[in-house]
Amino acid sequence: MAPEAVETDSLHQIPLGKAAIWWFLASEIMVFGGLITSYVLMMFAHGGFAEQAVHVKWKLGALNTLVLLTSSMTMILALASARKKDLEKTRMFLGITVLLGLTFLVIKIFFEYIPEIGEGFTPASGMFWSFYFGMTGLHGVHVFGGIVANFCLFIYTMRKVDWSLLERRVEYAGLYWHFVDVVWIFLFPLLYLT
Amino acid sequence: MSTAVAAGAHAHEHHELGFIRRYIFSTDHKVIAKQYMTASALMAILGGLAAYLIRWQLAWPETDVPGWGPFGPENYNAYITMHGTIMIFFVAMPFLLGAFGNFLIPLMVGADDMAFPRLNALSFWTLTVASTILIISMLLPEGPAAAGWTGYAPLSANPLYTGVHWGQNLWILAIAAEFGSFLMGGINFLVTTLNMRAPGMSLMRMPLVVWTEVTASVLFLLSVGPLIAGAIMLFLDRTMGTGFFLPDKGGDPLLWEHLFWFFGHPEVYVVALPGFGIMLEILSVFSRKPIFGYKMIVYSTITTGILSFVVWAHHMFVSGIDPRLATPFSITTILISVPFAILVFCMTATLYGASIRFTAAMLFALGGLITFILGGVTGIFLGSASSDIYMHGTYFVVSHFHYVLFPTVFFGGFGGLYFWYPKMFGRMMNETLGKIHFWGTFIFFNCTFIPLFFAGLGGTPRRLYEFSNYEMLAHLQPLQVMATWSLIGLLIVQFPFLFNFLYSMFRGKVAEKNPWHANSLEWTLDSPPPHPNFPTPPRVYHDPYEYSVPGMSEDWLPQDQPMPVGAATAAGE
Amino acid sequence: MSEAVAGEHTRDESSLYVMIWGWLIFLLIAGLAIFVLPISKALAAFLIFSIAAVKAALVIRNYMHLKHEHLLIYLIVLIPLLFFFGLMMTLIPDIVYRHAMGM
Repeated sequence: MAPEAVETDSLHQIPLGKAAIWWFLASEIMVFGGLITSYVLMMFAHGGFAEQAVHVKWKLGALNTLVLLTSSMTMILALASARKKDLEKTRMFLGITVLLGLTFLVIKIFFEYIPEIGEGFTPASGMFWSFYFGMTGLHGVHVFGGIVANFCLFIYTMRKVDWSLLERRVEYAGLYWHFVDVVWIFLFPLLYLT
Repeated sequence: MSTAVAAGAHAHEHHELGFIRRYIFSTDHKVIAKQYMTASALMAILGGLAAYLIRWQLAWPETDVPGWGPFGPENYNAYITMHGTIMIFFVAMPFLLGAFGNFLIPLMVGADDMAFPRLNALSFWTLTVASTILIISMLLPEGPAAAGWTGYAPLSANPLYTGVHWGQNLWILAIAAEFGSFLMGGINFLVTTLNMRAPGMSLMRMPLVVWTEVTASVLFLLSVGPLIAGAIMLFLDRTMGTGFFLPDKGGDPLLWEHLFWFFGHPEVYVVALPGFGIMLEILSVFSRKPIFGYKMIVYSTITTGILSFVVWAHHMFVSGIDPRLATPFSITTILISVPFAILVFCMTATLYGASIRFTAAMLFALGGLITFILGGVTGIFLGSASSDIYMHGTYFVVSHFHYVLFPTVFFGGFGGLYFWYPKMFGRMMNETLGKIHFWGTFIFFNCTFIPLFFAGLGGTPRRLYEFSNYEMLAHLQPLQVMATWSLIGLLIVQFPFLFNFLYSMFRGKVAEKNPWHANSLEWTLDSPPPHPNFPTPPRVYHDPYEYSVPGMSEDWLPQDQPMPVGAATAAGE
Repeated sequence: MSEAVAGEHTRDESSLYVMIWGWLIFLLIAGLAIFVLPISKALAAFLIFSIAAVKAALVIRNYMHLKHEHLLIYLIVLIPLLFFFGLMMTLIPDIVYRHAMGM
């Protein structure tokens, strides 16, 4: 008998944008993974990281961790609000997330980087410091990108919205934002606490 | 699904798009594919020019190059770097992935366009930015990057060693932009293939070229990260005084090599697999036979992909790694020849008992298969650490990788071009010129690189601009001369092809929908296909290799037509 | 997701999200406590990274909804992680060993 067309195993149930974000995050895992691998290797090979790392400002790092974790919560609450079609709350949570992201960067740049450079610790000061500036710098660039994306969504909520579009985009921006948070969850102990 | 329909609807609302939106910033995957093709052709001219200069210098050192002028040792390193970088990142990948991947995937899986048409356009324009950065680096007074396409540290990490400052920095930026471009493109390929296939198009009914393009996309996506990390570290070393790869600052040059080759090895499969996919399609159509071992080919492709991640240190056997690492990597490298051998075997078995039509496309596919086999076999000697100790860094390696890259990129790519030209441009290319192109390319390619195998075995090192200091190599100089003459022939014989390509676009015989009587979905559409691709959504009933099915009057059966009652299926599905 | 179901979900969702945040902060403080405690560095490192892993898992499973997602998404996350570990493990015998030997 002629075989009938079977139902395809095409993954229609996964929205295209969500699949795309996850693939993108997979490649980002490899980027940060590459940096973390290099750090770990150099830490064991080089020695001397502990002495250099004494001067990192771990209390500010911890504060920044608090800031970022909270921003993750506000981001997901923004999604929950979008699902409930509550424009006010969505806008509020997006706004808070943007502010918390900016807080993170302000603490990082003005209370860590600049004082540290003032104290004489630059990327060229030693292997640990090279990694510290490189890794937190790359992470900071990613935070900035997330802030921009979230800010664009915030602006979008100022006017009449297409709910299905907003919900999807808040979800996808959220996935990216949470990823950036997870990277920091590992960077913080790696650079500040060990 | 609905997102795709929404995106598609937005794109093909029936308003006339201006010239800029239709041809320059188009979001139609078919136009973008042609843009990638154009870009790779232009960069290939630069890459070929670099090859010409290099080979002239090697054959007749310190002489003026005809059509160019003096070419001294201070330029040599820059030109080999540009040749490698351009050919791999700006020719091979845009041609095989950017052009063919973009053109074929939506058509072959039954989708109206890629999942993200605007991202697709962005990926092409990012590549254009990357190419521009690289070209600018060539115009700087100090010249472009000169540390090899592999950019080994500390040569690449300390500007003092190459004398090139911003050229090398721009090289890093250009490659980073290229990576971004292909990450975007790869995500598009993956989401389109996994999520947007037409009803009936199960994964095991897709044309094999889609499998290879998708596998290549996954390989690239997963392997490029550590090199991006390394590129950032290299850039910091060069600009901010860090010492990740500089021994005098406590860094480790081998860390760069590991990060580079962790990407670099899967990268060569990113390039090789799509070329193979194209050859597979051509072989089946012009043998009028199903592909032998479809499932084996799929599993071998996936296995090759997985194994490609655990063989990288075979590029580093003599770099100073712990010698005990050489053993496991030798084992994995020899192992990876198994799935590839299976691939080659299936291709050969497809030809058994076939009724072969020697079109230009088929000649290129066959020629590609034969030359690739030679390249693959020579890889075995390099994969085993003990023999690699002798041959690493010699012309044996150069010939080996040209024998695996050139067949996939150029024989596979040209074959694909002759094969899909009717579909892309609505015209037929001239077969006679195609055959001249093939035989010229085949003969001259072999005559260029076979002598270099022997030069390598005789001890000729790579990356030196001439060998007059080495008494022991003097008798090998005729081989270098022969290789150069052949290369010149190889370059000259591309002109008939160029003429054929451009002339046929305007004066070629108008192509029907399916001039080759092939089965995959793109051949059910007009030549060239409309926008959107499928005015009526297709429905798929079987795989695309139902050729010469017993009991049928025609020797082909398109995927969107069910098997007639009483006919035996080839795959037994 | 239908709107009605979504509405019910989200009322419980929000309190779940806040509760997860509570756990994240608690774990952050626990990690800092371990950091300041006078215990061996190796043990401290082990505990601190275990806590980090738990925090990450909480974020990934709950905020990124991985526990509701298709198998493919799981694989897209898992496979790079495996590669990352594999790369690190493979390079330790080379880079660390050679430096330790003074090469």
